[in-house]
Amino acid sequence: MARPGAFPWELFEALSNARGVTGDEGPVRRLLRDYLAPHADRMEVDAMGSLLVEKRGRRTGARVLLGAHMDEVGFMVVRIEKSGALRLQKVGGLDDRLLAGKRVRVGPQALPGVLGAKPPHLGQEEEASRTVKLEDMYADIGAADEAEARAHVRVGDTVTFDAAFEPWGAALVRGKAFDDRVGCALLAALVAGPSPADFVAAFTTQEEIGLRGARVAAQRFEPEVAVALEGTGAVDVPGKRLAALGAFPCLGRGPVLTRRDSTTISDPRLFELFERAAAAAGVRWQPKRPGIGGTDAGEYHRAGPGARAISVSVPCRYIHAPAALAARADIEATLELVRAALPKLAALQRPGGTPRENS
Amino acid sequence: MKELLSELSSAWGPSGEEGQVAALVRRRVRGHVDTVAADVLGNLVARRRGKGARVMVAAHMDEIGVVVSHVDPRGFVRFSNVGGVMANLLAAQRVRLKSGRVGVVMEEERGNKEDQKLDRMYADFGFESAAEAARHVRVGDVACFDREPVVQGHRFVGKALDDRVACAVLIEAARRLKRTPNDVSLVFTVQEEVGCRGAQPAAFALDPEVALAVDVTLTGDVPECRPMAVSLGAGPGIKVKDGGHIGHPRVRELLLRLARRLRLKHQLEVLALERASTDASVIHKVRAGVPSGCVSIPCRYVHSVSEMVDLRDVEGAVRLVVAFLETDLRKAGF
Amino acid sequence: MRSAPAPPAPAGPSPRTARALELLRRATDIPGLPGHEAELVAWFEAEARALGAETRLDRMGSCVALLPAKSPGGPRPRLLVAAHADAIGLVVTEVTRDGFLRVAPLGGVDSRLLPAQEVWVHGTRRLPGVFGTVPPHFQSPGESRKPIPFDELFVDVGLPAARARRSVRVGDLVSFRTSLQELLGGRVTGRALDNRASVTALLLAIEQLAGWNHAWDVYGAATVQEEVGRGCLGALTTTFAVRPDVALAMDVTHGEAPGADDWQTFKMDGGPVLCAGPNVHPAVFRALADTADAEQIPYQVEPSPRSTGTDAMDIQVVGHGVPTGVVGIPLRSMHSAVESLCLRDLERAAELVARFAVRLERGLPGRDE
Repeated sequence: MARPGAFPWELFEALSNARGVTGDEGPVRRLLRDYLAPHADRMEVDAMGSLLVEKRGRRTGARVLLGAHMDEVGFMVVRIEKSGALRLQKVGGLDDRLLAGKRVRVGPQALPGVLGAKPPHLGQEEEASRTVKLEDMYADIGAADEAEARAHVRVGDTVTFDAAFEPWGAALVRGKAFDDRVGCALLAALVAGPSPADFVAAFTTQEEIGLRGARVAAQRFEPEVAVALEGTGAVDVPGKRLAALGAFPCLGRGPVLTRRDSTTISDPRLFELFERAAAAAGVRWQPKRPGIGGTDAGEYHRAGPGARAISVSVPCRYIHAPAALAARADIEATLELVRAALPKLAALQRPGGTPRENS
Repeated sequence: MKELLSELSSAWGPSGEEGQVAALVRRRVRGHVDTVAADVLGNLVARRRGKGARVMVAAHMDEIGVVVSHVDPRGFVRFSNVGGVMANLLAAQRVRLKSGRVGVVMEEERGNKEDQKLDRMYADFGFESAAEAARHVRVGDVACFDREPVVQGHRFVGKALDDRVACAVLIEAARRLKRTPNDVSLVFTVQEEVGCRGAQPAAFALDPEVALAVDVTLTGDVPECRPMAVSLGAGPGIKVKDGGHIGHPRVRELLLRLARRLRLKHQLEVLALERASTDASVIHKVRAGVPSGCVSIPCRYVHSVSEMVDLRDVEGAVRLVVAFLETDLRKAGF
Repeated sequence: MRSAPAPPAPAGPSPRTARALELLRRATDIPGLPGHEAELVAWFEAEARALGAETRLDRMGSCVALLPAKSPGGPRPRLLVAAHADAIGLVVTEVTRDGFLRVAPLGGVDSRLLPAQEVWVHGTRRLPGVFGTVPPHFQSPGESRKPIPFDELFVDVGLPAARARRSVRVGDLVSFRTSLQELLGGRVTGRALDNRASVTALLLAIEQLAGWNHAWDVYGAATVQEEVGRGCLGALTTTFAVRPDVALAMDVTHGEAPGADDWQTFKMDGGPVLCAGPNVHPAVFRALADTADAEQIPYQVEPSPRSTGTDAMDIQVVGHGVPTGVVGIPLRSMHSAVESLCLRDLERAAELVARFAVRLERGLPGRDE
């Protein structure tokens, strides 16, 4: 039995394998709800489908919210062709170059399927030098015609990559949806242990199409301090320009602290707090490439009267693709860092009152 | 006004790090208002209490700039943009870190033209090694453009007139505002250039009944430019619409009446650029809505290091804002 | 602009269709451009009042018409049904020395549809105008194959320069000059069917509901500024003020047409279109579909993987979140001066919304129930 508060590897595996494309997060939510029921002081599912958990701790201070999003990028079936092929549209950001020839699971029954594309033998020569676009692709579940397809699939069904979680050696793990099931697992671990302070754990929906669940959660709780826990893209891979522009974050260098990304400029005092907590706990951390990527913190910091916000992330190669890679040590170090910082978050000074008058 | 505007233009304050500008604004405005307070994001609220309508007037303190994304092994710095930086205006410009250290921005001579332009640029702060660089700069640090202002006749040229000229207008308006029946909050906002992020929570907290943004707008009076019926020197703009906001008709009509009563040169302004807007675009959506307008300062070369305004337009904007704030806004229907 | 007299119609329309037509005609005659919806909203308010609703105008100019629940007792849950009041058009950006007008779009106006389009210019008085063109003989080679950008388009009001400058100023509005025209098969064409069709359907739904017992307070709202800006201003602010427990957005969606036949288009006369996807709460979708089945109203399903492109995107994320649905009316040639729809689809949309409202007795199940 894992020691209480350790990183929940089994839960992470279940979360990674669970299917929850934006708008269809139910299976992920139910997993978390069942896991957290014994540990939460209060749990509710809001109109967006986000799971909002209140955790009481030993003292009260600033209103703290920790968040992770439950949704993953995937596809939606938008049309069923006469041939039985399924036309898809992306849900969330996906690189067209990664899609052709991948295995998928379709609809609530998780029907196996493949993302086909015209074979190179049959196309024109110039087609071979262009990316296959999603419009030219189809999902094939083996249906002989439209009628057979319709017996199993409906327009509106969501489609996930088909990838099973597995360890790679002792150091790495591979699976889909590390963005952001790793954040969900971290947050679940924080809820499952005893807490030094009150906080709200927001397992949000619809991050991948515009931080929509986070917006509503923030409007509900009006946190003063908010931390988004994420799986962020590691780029320690070969690439022409990466060396010149900086090939980081990297696997194995610990949690990623964001100073600014495309949606949020992290609060400088909150950033310092995490730096100090890392130093005190002996956790090595690494910076995030500024300006790239967005997280739920983008809504947390400007909902209501505003909040201090930051993103703390596990570096993962190949997010938004079927098989992401992460290092066990990075995941555990991220948990250790957030745990070390948590008691300090509630004690963060308000800017001289709300707002203090002086002149 | 020239001294105030020079000070504000030269102040260091890229989006997210407006503290130095806020300190300057606080010093200049504190004698003319009842209270000055900062919120959690750094928005500065200078308040003149009153029993009448709650009115918010916003000018943003932040300027565009660059953020350090990588320091290479030889000490050259790669960067990304803070706000709407125009990459084709960067080569040979200078940028300044918070410490005051200055760097030269250049484009790779033999860079791949298919790459993003900003990715082909770098800043040279004169570091002789990565080790030396590490003592001065790290990933996530920001820099603003570095240029001294110049005044020639009525024309003032400087960096960051977007939107320091509006900060100057608000400060001067506070100085001239004698009596007002309204409850006035002059809000010097943060992070406008990265998405009006400061104005939204500021407006939520204040819950105003009517609001004005003061910001720069483009002109249509330079060679071979996109047509626009706004010219430098023809007076402040009263905004009809821009990419994110349609001026509330009642606010617009009030501003027009006041301009005529004051015999003030003014221009009706349409900014037909879908991506361009002001803090008003978020303020008017807050809570149950806030009827909002915008007073615009015509400005050439916006988002370059040499923005140009006409001091007569600035003076006109001050007079218009003062007149607006002196109006009993409850009686005016807000 | 008078059309040629029509041949005698075979049999008259039903009273309900005649009523829909009369409302729609009036609604599409009023410009109601984004940010300037007052006249349209005032008309909506008057019509809603006449049907027995309590009305008020909110801060940003939307009108909210309340049909209180008829059941006795304390606070009742609230349904908000929103139809955006604004219709796209243009705004004058400059009056040139020669008295021609330069314009910019208010909302998603396709510049390719403008050359030779007749318009109303709403200056000191309403002036007829036309988007002028340079004859082909004077164009450079290849020019006729490119769309004319807004910067080069101009409106001719046929007045001497000085008079034009006195009658029109920067900021004045320009709307398409078309009045509602009946086509064959119960179809109509005109400007602003996006979204006057839904405003009309909303009034018809209010009319039906006013005669029924319903357990929820129903707020019908004609919202402002859906077509412009980032985010639907009216949807956001009206929802904040009303605080509904459930909401529906009524809008138009793309009708099938030659060259437009894919997953985003729907059959004309195929019935209202229900969106499914992240923007729609599954219980609201289910309740709409069940209502349609029970009342034998044909309907179609629009997969909306990311956005529905309607007021619902903003309604859903106000406050603590609102379970939301979308009811669409298929429309051909959206955002042109010759939009067309099938009146039966409009009537069915109205019926579906009214029946949905009345069935909201016990509320809706949560997501995991």
